[in-house]
Order: sequence, then C-alpha cells, then structure tokens
Amino acid sequence: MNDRENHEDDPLTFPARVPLELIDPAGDRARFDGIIRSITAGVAVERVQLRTAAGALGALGQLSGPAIAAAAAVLIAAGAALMLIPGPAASPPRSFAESAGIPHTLIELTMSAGAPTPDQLIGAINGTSR
Amino acid sequence: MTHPARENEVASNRIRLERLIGNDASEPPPQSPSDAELVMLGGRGDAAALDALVRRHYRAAYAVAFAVTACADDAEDITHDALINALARLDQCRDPSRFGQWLAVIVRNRARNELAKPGARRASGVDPNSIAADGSTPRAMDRDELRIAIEGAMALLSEPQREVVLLHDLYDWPHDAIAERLGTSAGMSRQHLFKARRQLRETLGPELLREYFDE
Repeated sequence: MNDRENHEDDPLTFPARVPLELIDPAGDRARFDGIIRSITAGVAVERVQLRTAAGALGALGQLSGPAIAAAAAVLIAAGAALMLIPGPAASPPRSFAESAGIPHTLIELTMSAGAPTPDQLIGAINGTSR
Repeated sequence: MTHPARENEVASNRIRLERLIGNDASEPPPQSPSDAELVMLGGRGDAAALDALVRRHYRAAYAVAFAVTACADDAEDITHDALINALARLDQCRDPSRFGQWLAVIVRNRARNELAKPGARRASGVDPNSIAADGSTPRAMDRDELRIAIEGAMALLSEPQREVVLLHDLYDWPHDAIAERLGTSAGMSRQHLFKARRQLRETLGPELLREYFDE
C-alpha cells in the first residue's frame, strides 16, 4: 500500500484500500494545473458572456419604456383621428335581391301586379325601361 | 478536496512523498482564507481566489460526478463545466460558507442530466469480471487498461459507495465529513466503504492487485 493508507479502520476486519489514483484527474500535478487554468479561463469567458447578455437585456429594457410610450401615443392619435373622421353616409336599406346584384328595375317589374312582357324583361335586364 | 481536519497531515505526507519522487505537488494551506472570503473575492473577479476555490473543491466535485456517472471522462467533463458555471455565478451562492455543498448540488444535477441524455457514455470499456474471473490477468495490462479495469469495477458499486470510497480512499476525507456531505451517519459511511472495498477487491481480483499494486 502507500503512505495514504488510512489506519482508522481495523486492517484485520476491514478490507484494505484499493489504489484508485489512476482515475484521479487531480493526481498528476501538471495535468491538474492545466485543468485549473482551463476552468479559470472558462469562468472569465462565461462572465463576459453573462455581462454581454445582461447588457443587451438592459439596453432592451431602457429602450422598451420610450417605445411603449411612443406606441401608446400613436394608438391614442389613431383613435382620435378615427373618431373625428365622419363615417360613410347612411345608405337606404337594400333588399336581399339588390344585395345579390339583381337590377332594381327587374325587382320592381317582378313586384308589379301584372306579368311583364318579354321586352320589359329584356329592358330591365339591360338596365332600360320600355 | 481533502477535509480540513486531515488537511495538514495529508499535505505534509504528500510533500514528503513528493520530495521522495521529485515532484513538488504541495498545495497552499486550505481553509485560510475561508470559503466565504474566497467566494466574495472570486465574485469580484479575483483570479487568485477563483484558482484557490477550484483547487480546494475540484476533487470533491469530481467524486460527486464520478459517483453519478461511473465514468472518469464524463465525470471530468461534468466537473469542469459545473465549476465554470458555478464560479461565473458566485452571486447566486446564498451561503458562501457552504460553497462546497452548493457546488456539489450543481455537479450532481448536471451529472444526472448528462446521464439522462440519450447516448450518454457509460463506464466499463473492459468488463472487470472478465479480467478477474479466475483471479488472473491473461496478459500484461497497460496503464489505460488498468484505469479502465478500475473504472469498470467502480461501476459495479452503488452511487453512495462510489462517492464514499473516492472521498475516503482517494481524497482522505474522514467518515464524519463524508457523512455530513452525504446527509447520512458516519456508521453508514463506514458501511459503504466496507462494501465498496470488498466489492472492488473481488472484482479486480488478487492477482491484478498483487501484480499492479504491489500487494
């Protein structure tokens, strides 16, 4: 065994220590120093990234106040403008047939008491009354 | 991380050992400054404080990641990423004096998320049972194969057993500290260690342990 054998356990009843140094990355001084350098360098990079991200978020936060105020002002102005502009003139109510695009003269003809003549129908369809 | 209660002893042992093998791997005395102080300094971008936090907590974090994944490569990646994530957000650590516990939660969650992903890697590139079925090794194993064998044997343990055996046998944590970290009792920690060691020895086999670990 080696100098690091632990004597707090009774060697007669307790199994002896198994050397585990081969799976210890910190066992080799030079290698361990390299690991530490790599970690501390990684910390520096990570901190810069965190600061950059925090800076970007902060800038976004600073921008968001005026941007929200500007958007609200635009909305208020737009609402006021919509209220001031007169709406379209009220049009008389239209029948379902007119809404469907049937000429008014043809509708009147069909609503009249007598049966229309073929000439009247053609005239109504063409938009002329005879 | 070596627990503070044993840090000085372990550190002096390590320095002595490393002087013998000519590799000065001594580390700065831990726990001074405190975690809370280091977190405060690290949060301000103090590079030395960040370095100290990584040195102090890397091992325990790795033990957590390995306990969950049972894969050394995955555990290393997860520990690396979790430490970067945590250290970059030290302002989110509500109780800086409990930085270790906070980090452990981050590592455990990240490891579990990684494990839940489809195609997550698993340990056991080599079936440890095939190595130790008759207690013998069919041919000489290189370092990587040996590492994979240990990794495979560890994969057969339960998650708490893996965490306990790593913290105790690799990083010299006492049972009290392990119990506190795992939210269990010291007795249960000892029980996990007992079962883990027995299982590891059975899986690896006496031949391999004798040949490669001078037993």
